[in-house]
Amino acid sequence: MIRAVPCGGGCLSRQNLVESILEAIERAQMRTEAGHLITASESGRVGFVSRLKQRRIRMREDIQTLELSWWERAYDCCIALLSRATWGSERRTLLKLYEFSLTEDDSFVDVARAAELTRDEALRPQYIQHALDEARHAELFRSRAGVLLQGLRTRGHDLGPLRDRLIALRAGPIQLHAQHHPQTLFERLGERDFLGLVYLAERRGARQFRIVQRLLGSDPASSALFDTVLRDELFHMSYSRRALDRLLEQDRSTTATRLLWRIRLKRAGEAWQRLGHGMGIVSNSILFGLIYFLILGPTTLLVRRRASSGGWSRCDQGGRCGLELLSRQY
Amino acid sequence: MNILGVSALYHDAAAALLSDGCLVAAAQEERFSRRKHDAALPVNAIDFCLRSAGIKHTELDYVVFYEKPIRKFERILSTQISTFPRSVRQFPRAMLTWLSSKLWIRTTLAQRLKIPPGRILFTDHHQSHAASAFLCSPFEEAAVVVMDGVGEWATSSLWHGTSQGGLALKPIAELQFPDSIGLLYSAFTAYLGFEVNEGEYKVMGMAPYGVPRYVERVEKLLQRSEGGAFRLDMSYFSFHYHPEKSFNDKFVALFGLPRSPDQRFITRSMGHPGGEDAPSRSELDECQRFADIAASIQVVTEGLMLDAIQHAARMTGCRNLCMAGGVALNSVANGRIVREGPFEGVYIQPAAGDAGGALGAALYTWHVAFGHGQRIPLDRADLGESISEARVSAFVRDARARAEELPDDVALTDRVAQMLADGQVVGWCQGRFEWGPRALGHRSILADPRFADMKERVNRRIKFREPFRPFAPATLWESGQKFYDLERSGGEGDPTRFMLMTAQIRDDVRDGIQATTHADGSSRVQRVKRSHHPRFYDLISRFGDSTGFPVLLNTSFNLKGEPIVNTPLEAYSTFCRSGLDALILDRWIVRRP
Repeated sequence: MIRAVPCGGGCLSRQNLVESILEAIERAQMRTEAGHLITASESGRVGFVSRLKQRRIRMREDIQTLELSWWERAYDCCIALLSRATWGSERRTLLKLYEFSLTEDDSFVDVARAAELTRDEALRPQYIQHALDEARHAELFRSRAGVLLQGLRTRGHDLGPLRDRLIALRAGPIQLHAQHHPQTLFERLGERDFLGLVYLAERRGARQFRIVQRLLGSDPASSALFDTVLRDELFHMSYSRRALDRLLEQDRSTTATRLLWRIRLKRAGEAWQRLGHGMGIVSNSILFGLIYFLILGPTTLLVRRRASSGGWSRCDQGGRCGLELLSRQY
Repeated sequence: MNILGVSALYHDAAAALLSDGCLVAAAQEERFSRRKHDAALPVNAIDFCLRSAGIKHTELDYVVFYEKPIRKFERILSTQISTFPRSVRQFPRAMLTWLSSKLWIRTTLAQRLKIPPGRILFTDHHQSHAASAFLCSPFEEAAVVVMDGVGEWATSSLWHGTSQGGLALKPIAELQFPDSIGLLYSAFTAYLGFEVNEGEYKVMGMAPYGVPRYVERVEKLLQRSEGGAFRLDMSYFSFHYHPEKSFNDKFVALFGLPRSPDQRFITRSMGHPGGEDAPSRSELDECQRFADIAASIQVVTEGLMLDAIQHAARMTGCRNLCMAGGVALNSVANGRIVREGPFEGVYIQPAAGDAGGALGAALYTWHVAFGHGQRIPLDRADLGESISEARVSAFVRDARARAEELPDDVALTDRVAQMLADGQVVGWCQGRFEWGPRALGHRSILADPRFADMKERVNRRIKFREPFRPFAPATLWESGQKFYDLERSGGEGDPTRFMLMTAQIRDDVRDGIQATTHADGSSRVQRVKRSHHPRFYDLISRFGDSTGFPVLLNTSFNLKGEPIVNTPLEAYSTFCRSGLDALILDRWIVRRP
């Protein structure tokens, strides 16, 4: 559920994003140090964590286990092999953790909106719990990224290229106007499809996190983090699938299998569009680069430069502006 | 007639809806999308505005965009040409976004809202700002000064607003790109390691720790002329050709190496408990240099603004002033303008930045284009989505939160006042959220400012901000002058309503309210009227009854890097992830699970 953020021609400057990204990471790190997310010595905070756990356990009736088909296991093995390089590097681990935190942030928005809009009384508490989990996961990921960042800084690593990558992650791809998604997922898809998407996304997340957890065996703190998140993902899978089955039983318009496959195909189509979008940006960037030198360059010789006057320029317009003037974009 | 104003595609997208001239709703998109300074088309804010009015998009008569896209594109293109070949990195990026998205805003809005393209209008950027200030003000006539980074071409503009013989907003003069106070200040914001369009407040917060010993060097960057006008020496800057950097090596040679974003800021005057983490002498010297630079740019900016204000007074002969544009959010400068300027009345619209352009565009169309003279001054900022009693009750039930509902407002304010006096820090969510960047008692974190360590506690353990950042006080309308020097406070316009000016705390009470007093004795004070926010007023009043100080620390209800909360779920999630002691949602007191 990664959302694209428009990058308006340099409006999200490097300085903007460096500072805000580092702030977010450090904030999460500070919060961990303050003991809000992990068991602390003060009885109040210990109580907070254990009571929250108890409540979550009560809400989880039958938590699904992650059972995979043979081809899914084979696929995950391949992914695990390919991912070794990523998760073996501290820098790349940091980037991935930050990427995960952004995804969790977006998920919070979608699930929180679902909690607002759903008319299903039984689902609302589960959406709320899910949303709170997503926000907490985002903090956990940022916190861990913060620890890794601090480690790199302490060891005197050059953080410049890392900051560039963090900026790119935060900005996301340039958004074309036709691609602008007007609403949250719940509003676009409706309850059934939303639940189906949640189930699939959480399942995919659980698979991914299980792979990562195993790859991070030499980093116990990161591995423990993924263990915590994985348990929540299983809960999210469980409740969404149960709810989906319940709704489809009432509805009887389709089966869960068909609905899930339809969603998978739709997601594949969207991934294809994103690929095309990315290729379009690359090719257009090259094209505009050529235009810059071949057309703009010579134009500069012909165009008289607009000199800054350095003083107030008087305006001669009247104080009223009719509709005809307002309808113009110039 | 329903007129929707929209600002988008640069930063702080927002929507505002007028229904027969009445402002029904206004909100920034970030409060819904949870992306700070979200610039995307504000579809959620638009949907909220329509829901508030109970209408569908097809019932909109006009949609007004807050700037002229083609004129802005002209400026961008001609700047690219004039900076060839240095703009090589900026050109492809700019063309991609403009040709794929920004130039087609009319089509996008028409498709999204399913209305004919002919019903989509466009005001000028500074025109939107000027309208947002003057048409919301209580003044019959006023000089209007708009200062920001840049609109289409204008960076500062002077207007004459009058309602005699029909409402009119006449442009008088403008300064053009690249000579911009906003961009100058933003360059220093970036130099000091902060985020542009977000970190300017931090520069203001840093300035009191410094001495303005770099003013001469800052003055080297510009060549002043009459009336607060100036020309920037662009050989020091790169914002006109580089997509990411605002200043270049020549700037660095003049001021020294810039501050890194992850460098901590600590000066000798702040003190440090010592230990492993204690700053070295060189670190302290370096931080002092940054503080001095912050102080210097603040002094220069205030000077430029005051000169421009004086010029506006001479050009218009008006007794009242309205201000808008991002630079009008510089509350320190606003305080000087109110105290030292030639105007009796000063009004600044609460969302003075680009978000306010949405409101201004709609107001301009209704009042000036359509000639409706009857204005309704904007004297309260709660225009956003509401937290109603029913909504909170449902949330508490569904979240299975540990909560207690108090029977009435008196019980609520008594209890919360006691909690605050006991040293607790609470999240406070009431009614509709605020329009603009300030929290004014609708989505606030509140604390007792009497505790000397409260500032450090809230910064470090709750908001997770830099330790040097000050907090602002909220006090009662009537008792504000007992605590702060508010002899001149902007007359009918009074920026303290929206927390948009700073004032000095009185010496006799300074020791009693340490947590909201900055290093130089100033505070960005909010004065609360009972008619505008009875619960918040009563809370401050009860607190004052029990402590003798009807002043609360009031900061926005959000964690660093996040927008201010909107819904009960967002408030609860933020509460759970922070060190707040309690969450107050309407009349519910929510504790940790």
